[in-house]
Amino acid sequence: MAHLAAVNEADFLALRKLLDLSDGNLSVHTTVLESKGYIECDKSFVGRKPRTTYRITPSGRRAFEEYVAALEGILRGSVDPTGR
Amino acid sequence: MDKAEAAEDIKLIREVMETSARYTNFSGISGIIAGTLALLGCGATYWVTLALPGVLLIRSYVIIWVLVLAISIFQDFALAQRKARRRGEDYFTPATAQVYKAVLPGIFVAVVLSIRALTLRELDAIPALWCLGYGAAICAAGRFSVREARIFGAVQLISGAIGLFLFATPPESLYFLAVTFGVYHILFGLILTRKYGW
Repeated sequence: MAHLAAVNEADFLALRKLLDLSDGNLSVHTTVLESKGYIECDKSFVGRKPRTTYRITPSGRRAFEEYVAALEGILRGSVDPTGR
Repeated sequence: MDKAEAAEDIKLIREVMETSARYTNFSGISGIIAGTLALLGCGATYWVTLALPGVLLIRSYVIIWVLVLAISIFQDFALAQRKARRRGEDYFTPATAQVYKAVLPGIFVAVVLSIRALTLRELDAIPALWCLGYGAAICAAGRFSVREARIFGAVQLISGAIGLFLFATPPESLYFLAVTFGVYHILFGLILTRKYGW
């Protein structure tokens, strides 16, 4: 999500290389994020090669920013890290 | 999640975003091509200086350097987009937008001063003015890119300042232009290609 927040859009191969994950592992993560509506998936062809591109959605960007804000809150001590 | 885990997460997120947000879609090959075009432009300028008088010289100067600039920008844009596609990324990212916004003031200053120098027929001051404007633009854009871009911008700025006082007469101004826009771009392009690929 951090990478997509910075570049808006990246394809499967670029994300796999960046995150150093296997195809299956990355697919699991992207499926979860897509099911939550945080990213959109676009499947296309470049010549004969399939290309899967992921783009962060507005709600995904909001969720990511809220997550970062929550982390910063924990560090500042203003947010209870146990979630209570 | 405890504070240590939160700190670790934030650190990782910041590292990824800083790396991802840097503009790295520049092409080293594009720098080499731009430098070569500048050298060809200097050659053409030398020839028209010998062959053409007065107003025709100024018009030829404008045509030559507008062409060099247009082709340089076009090939840089095309190669940068190609690099982004090869990496599986979108070219028009927030980092790209920041770079474009950052270069505009420096380029605007270079254009305005060049036009004024042309109307005053001070052709020999133009190379140094270009260095100053271009150097300022690259220094500003370099804040959102790699260290080498900031160094290149600083080198252009310093060269422009020196050139305005020491190399603003013929034929030194043309040699100065060949070095700062020709040789510098080729060297910078070779360094970028070696470090970041083509």
